[in-house]
Amino acid sequence: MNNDILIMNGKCLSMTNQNQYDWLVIHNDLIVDVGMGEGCKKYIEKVGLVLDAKGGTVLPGFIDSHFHVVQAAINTTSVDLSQARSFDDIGELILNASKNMNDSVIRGIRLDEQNLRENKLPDRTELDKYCNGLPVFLNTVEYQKSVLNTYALLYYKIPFTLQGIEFDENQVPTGIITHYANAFLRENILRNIPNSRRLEAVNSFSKTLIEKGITTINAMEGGRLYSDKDAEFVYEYADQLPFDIALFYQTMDISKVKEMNLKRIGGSFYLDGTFGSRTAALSFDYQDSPGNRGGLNFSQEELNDFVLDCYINRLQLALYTIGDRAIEQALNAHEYALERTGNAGLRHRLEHVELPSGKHIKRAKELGLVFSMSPTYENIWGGPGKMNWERLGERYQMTNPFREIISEGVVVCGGSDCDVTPADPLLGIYSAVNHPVEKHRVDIYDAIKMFTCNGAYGIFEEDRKGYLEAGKLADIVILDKDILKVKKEKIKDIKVNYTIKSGNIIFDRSKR
Amino acid sequence: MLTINMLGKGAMLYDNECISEKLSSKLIALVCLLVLNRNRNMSKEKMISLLWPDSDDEAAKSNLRFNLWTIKKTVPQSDDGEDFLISGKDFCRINEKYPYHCDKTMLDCFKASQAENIEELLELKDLFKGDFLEGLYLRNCNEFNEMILFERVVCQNKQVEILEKLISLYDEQERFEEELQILNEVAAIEPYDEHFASQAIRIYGKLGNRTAAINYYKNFEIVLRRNLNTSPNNELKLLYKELLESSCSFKPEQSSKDKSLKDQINIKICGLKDVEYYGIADLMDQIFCNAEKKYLFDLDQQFINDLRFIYSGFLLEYENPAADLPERICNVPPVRIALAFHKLMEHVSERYPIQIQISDFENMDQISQSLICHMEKKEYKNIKILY
Repeated sequence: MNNDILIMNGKCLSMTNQNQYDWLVIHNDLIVDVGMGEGCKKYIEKVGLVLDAKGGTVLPGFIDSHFHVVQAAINTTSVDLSQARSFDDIGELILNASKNMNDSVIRGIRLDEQNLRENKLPDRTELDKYCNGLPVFLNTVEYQKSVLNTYALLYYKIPFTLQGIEFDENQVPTGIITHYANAFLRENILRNIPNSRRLEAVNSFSKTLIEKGITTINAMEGGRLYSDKDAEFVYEYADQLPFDIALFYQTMDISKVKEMNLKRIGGSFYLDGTFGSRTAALSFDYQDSPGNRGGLNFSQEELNDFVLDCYINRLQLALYTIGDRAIEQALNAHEYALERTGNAGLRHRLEHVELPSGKHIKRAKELGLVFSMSPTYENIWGGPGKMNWERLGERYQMTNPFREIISEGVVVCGGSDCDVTPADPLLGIYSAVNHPVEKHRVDIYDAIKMFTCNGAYGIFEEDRKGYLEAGKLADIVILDKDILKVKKEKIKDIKVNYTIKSGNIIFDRSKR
Repeated sequence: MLTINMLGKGAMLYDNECISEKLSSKLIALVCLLVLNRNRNMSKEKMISLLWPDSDDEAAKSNLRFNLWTIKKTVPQSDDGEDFLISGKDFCRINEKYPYHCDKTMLDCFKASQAENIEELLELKDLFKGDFLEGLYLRNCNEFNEMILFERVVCQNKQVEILEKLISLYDEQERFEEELQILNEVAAIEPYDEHFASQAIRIYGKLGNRTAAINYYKNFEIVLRRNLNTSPNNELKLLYKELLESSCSFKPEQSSKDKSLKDQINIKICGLKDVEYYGIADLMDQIFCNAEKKYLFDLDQQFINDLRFIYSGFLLEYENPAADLPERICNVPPVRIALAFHKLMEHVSERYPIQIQISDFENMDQISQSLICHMEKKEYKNIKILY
C-alpha cells in the first residue's frame, strides 16, 4: 500500500521568503516535493491518496509555544466556575457536576471572588448546602486559594498547623485555604493523581488539539501551582501522544534537568505575577490599586546566579515575565550571565513579556532572546473597557506591542498559555492581526510565523519543522479557506480541515 | 484489654484482636463521642442530634439503642465483671472502672510544659498512625463532622508540640542523630518552616556532615521556590553562606578569622625559557583547575579578556567561539597582561590560600620570572612562593 499523499489545489505557504506553492507531496514522514501548476500531475497516479485542499491555505503544523498540557487536560474534567456570580451559581454548578460526574471528587476551577455578589469566597458550610455527599475542592482563578466542603476537609490530609488555614470563632477550619497550607495541599493532591488518570485526560484532550491543527506543543510543566509529577509524566509519556512535545521543566533544579537530558529549563518560571491579580511587577502604580506596583519573586542577585548557572550549563532558559519591572530584571540577569560566559546562541526565552519598553526590546535583540507571547491575551483582556484598561489605565495601549518587537528583529513565537486561553492557534493569529491597539497589529504572514517557523526556531527545530519545503517533516494543516484572502475579522472563524502529523492524517473534518 | 484507636483509622481491639472490622462508621463515631466525653454523662438526646440528626425521633432512638447493644455485645466484660458502658434511661457514659487504653486519652493528658521524659514522648509520638478518625465522614451529621475537624486540628498541634519537645530534649542531651531524625519528621509536617530547617543544618554541622547540610539547604530552597516561589530568609541564607565558605570539617559554632577562605591550592610550576608567558600560563592553568570557576569569572571582564591572550582556559571552558573574540584578544600589550595577572592573583588569594612551588626558576621565560618576582614583592597575604 502506497502511503504517499499529494495535497493539491492548495495555497501552500512555505513560510520561506513568502513562497507559495499549489501542491506538495508527502512520502513517509517527509515532504518530498513542492510545486506550482501542472507539476503535480505526475504524482496523481503514483500516490496512495490525493487530498484536494479546494483553494484552502496549507500551512506547516501549528506549534503552540506555551502550553500547560497536563493541567489543561485535567481541568477539562473540572467544573468551570468562571461564570459564577453568586454562591447559588457555584452551588448549581457543583450540584449538576455531582449528578453528572463519575469522579469521586468534584474539582472546580477559575473561581473569582471579585465576580461574586457576596464579594467573598463561600465557606465549607455554604458548599455543604449544595453538596455534602462528595468531596468538593474548588480553586480560585490563579490557584492562590482553595475552598473545600466539609467532606473534602476530612477526605484530604489537610495540614492544619500550616500558615493559611482560616478558622471560625470556634477554631474550626472554614474550608478556605491560602498561603503555605494551600501550596502544601495542592502539591499533595496533584501528586496523588495517578499517571493513568493523567494519560486518560491528556489523550482525551489531544483530540481538541489536533482539531485545531496543533502538531507540536511546548509543554510548560511542573513547579509552583502545578506538580513535578506533571513534568515527569510528560517526560515519560510524550512518545505516546499524537503530537510532539518539547518539555520545559518549571524548576530551578538544574542537576535534575541535566540528569533527564533535557536541553531546556523554565517556562512559567514566575519572575512576577499577573495583571489580573495585580501582582505583575510594574514601574508605575496600578490604576485601580494606588500604591501597588505588584512585586518581584526574586532578588536580582538570586536571578543572576540562576541565569548564570543556566548559561554555564548551556540550558535554554524560559523566564515568565509580565510587567516591565520583571522584564527589566530578566534582561539584567541575561546581560550579567552573557557577559560572564559569552555563551550566546542558546535562544533563551521570555514568556508572555507583555509590557516591554522600546529599550527592553532593543536589549532583548542584542541578547538574542526569543519572545514567546500569547496574542489571545489581547483578545480577551486588551482594549478599552477590558481588564488591562482597568488595571493599567491608558497604559493598556502599551501591552503586547507585536509590531514593534518584530520590526526590531526579535523572534516572536506564539502560544495559547492553555488553559488560560483556548488551545487555538487561529484565534492567536486572529488576535495578533486584530490587536486592539492598531499600531501593535501585525500582518497575517507575521502572525502565522509566530505559530509555525518562529515556534520551531524557539525550540531549535527549524531544520525539521515550521516550513513547507522538501525535506521538512510532514506536519501540515489544511484550512477550509484561503487565510490571506479572508477578512481579518473572520480569521477566527476559519476551520482546520486536515491535520497531518509526520505524514499521517490525524484529523479529517469530513470524518468527524 | 480493650484498645481504642482514634489517631488514624478508628478501630477497637480486644487483647490485640480487632473487634471493629464489622462495625459501622456510626458505631465507631458513637464510641468516639463517649471517649471524648469520658468523664461525664452524655445525654442520649445529644448523641441522637449528633449522629442521627435527620431521623425521626423513634427511628433515632432505635438506632442508638441498637448501637449501644452492639457495643455491649462486642466489648467483653472486664476481669472484674465490669461492663464497658453504663447506660441509663437518658444518658450513657464509659464506665470509669472499666480498664481500657485509648490513644486520644493519652494524648489529651500531654502537656508540653511538663514533658521531660524522652521515652514517654517517643511513646506519644508513635501514637500518630494518621489523622484523628481518618477516613470518617458522616453525611448530614454536620455538628459531628465539625467535631472531628476540631479534634484533627488539636491533634496535629499536639503532634508538632511533641516533636518540638523531643527536639529540644535531644538537643540538650546532645543526641544529635536522634534529633535529626525528629527534625526530618517535623519537616514532613512543616515543610516550609525555616526555624526547623536552620536547626537541621546546624545539627548536620555539629555532626561534621557538611555535604548533608548543603544538600539539606539546597532541597529546602527548591521546595520553597517550587511551592511558594520564595527563597529562604536572610538568616538561613547567611548560614548557607557560612557553610559554603567553611572548610570540610564544618562547624558553625567555630569562629575563625579566615573562615571565608577555602582549601589551599598547591601549585607546582616549571619554566620553558623560550616560550613567553609559559610560566604564568602554567600557574593560571593550575588555578583554573582547582578554584571555583564561577568565582574566577567574578574578576573584571577586561582583565579576563586580556588574560585570554595567554591562557585559553578562560576561552575554552565558558566561551562559545564567538566571531569577534580573536580580534579582541590579539595583540594585548604586556603591560595589560601583567596588570591582569596581578589582579587575578589578588582576586584568587582573597578566597584561596595558594602555595606555589617553582622547580626551575632560571629556566623560566623572562616575563614570567619578572611577574613572579613582582608578585613576591607585593606580599599577597595568602600566597606563598617556594623555590
